[in-house]
Amino acid sequence: MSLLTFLMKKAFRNPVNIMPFLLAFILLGNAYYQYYTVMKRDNALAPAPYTPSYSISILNGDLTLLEEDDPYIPVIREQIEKEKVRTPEEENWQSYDLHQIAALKQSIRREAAVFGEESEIIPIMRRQIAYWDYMYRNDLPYEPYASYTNGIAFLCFVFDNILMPAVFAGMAYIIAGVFCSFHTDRIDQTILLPVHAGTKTVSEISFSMIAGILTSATVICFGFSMGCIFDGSGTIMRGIEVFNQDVQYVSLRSLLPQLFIITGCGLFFCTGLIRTVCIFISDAMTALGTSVVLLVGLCRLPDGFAVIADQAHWIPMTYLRPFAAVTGQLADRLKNGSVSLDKGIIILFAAGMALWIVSMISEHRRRGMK
Amino acid sequence: MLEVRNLSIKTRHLVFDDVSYTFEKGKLYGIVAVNGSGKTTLFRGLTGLIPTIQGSVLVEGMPVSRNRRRVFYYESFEWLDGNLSGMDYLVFVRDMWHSSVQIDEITALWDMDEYIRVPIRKYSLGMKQRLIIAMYLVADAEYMIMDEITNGLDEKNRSLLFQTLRSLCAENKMILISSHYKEDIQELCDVMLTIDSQKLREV
Repeated sequence: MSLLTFLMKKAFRNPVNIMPFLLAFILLGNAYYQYYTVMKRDNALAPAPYTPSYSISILNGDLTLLEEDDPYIPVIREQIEKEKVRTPEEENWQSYDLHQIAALKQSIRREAAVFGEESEIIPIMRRQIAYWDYMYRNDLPYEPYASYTNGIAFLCFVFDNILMPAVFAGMAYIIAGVFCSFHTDRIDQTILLPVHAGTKTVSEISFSMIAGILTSATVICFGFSMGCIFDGSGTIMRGIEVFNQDVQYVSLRSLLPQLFIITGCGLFFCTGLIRTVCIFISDAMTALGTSVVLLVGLCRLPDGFAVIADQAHWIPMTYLRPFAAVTGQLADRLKNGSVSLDKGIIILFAAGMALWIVSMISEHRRRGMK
Repeated sequence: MLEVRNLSIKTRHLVFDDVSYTFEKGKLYGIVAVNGSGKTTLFRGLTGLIPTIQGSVLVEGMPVSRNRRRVFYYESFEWLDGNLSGMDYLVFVRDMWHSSVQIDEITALWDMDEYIRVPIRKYSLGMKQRLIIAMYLVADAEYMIMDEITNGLDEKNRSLLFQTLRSLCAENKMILISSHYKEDIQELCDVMLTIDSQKLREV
């Protein structure tokens, strides 16, 4: 217990180390805010709900938009029946979803009549229908386009593109510090947990285990907070959008296992990278800065350079955007069908392993030269 | 006793070659050697902090790695974490070494009460050195290995340290101390050692 206390003090009194924890705290707070306000349905930023009378009139209108044999007609009729027994205070998100579907179906018919079935917009609208269908079937309360106005989309963008690589770097920095501190004097002095001769009389294994467990716990909490942000808000941002294939919408909660796997591989890779950087750059802040620039920079570079985007599937940093990688948006965004979750796991693991070996050899040689 | 058997240590080059020596409890040992001769390497080897290419170090007949709580060695104030306070270290050392020594008594004796709860980054060299001495006293280990412990101490504290070391020896503890200056510790120590041609020799 005293060791744990000491370890926590060392971790939390260092402003450099507290950064990732602070980020995790902010995101957890944000997740709670989103969860509370949205699930309670008193979020002033959410769109005004349809009142029953307004919903019924819209739904009646929607019946005319659909063809007679449309499979949505029975569910819209059922919805109209349900509306009748609702009080004015109640909201009905399902009627909104059905209205969207009906409107989109009519738009598709019009589009096909004018431009033919080959119109480029028709597949997009079909995707949107699939989305609204998912929203309807799961009675999800949140209107997705409203998310763009209330900041969730912005939050997701910032999270996946800036915070996540930075947090990866921070976490990996801590892990690298913990594991290196037992072997490398230089890193001992510069990174978290400078395990001095005095504490080395404590079992190194238990020490690293505790540190590892603490870090893992933080990462897991972090993962759950991510889940809350998306799933707790009552909707998914988008679905799995497999490159050049049909769209499928799923709950983000079901993606958490994949998310954890690629997050784990990402951490393994980042740890190896930062470990290597720390061996060659002695100053802690310079090492951290270089690592963050490498990780965040190479993570973002393929978005701006098509040449790199074509080869982005070979760059481990590409996969440090776990949400985009897991949902398939990454492949879509980079227009590179080779970017996939499986490849991401392999690349991150292989690169991580290579960096770990390089850093261990360098460390061994450096120690021998002392 | 702390027994060194056929110890060989190699870093960039061979620093110790087949060294054997027995450190007995109740004695104060001093090591004086030129810079770079391997004093710190020897201490690290004795406490199992660096790998050895040959030989063993036994504490009471058991390898030092299995008997570490009987030994206390804190290499340098450079290892202190500036964000922690001296008290954090003393509490940690007391708990990890299962010591019953009263921290308050030690801090009062060494005139550390005013700054012991302040972050170490605000300490002067002398304050840090006194903290390290306090850690040794709080650990209350049977074998104490001190690397240039007198650095940064004023005359008054140096006298107090020497007096304390003698009383620790009287309590049947083994103390191994190193210094750059022979005159500094010669009168204090029971046995003077030096490092010569990769061997540990009595002077």
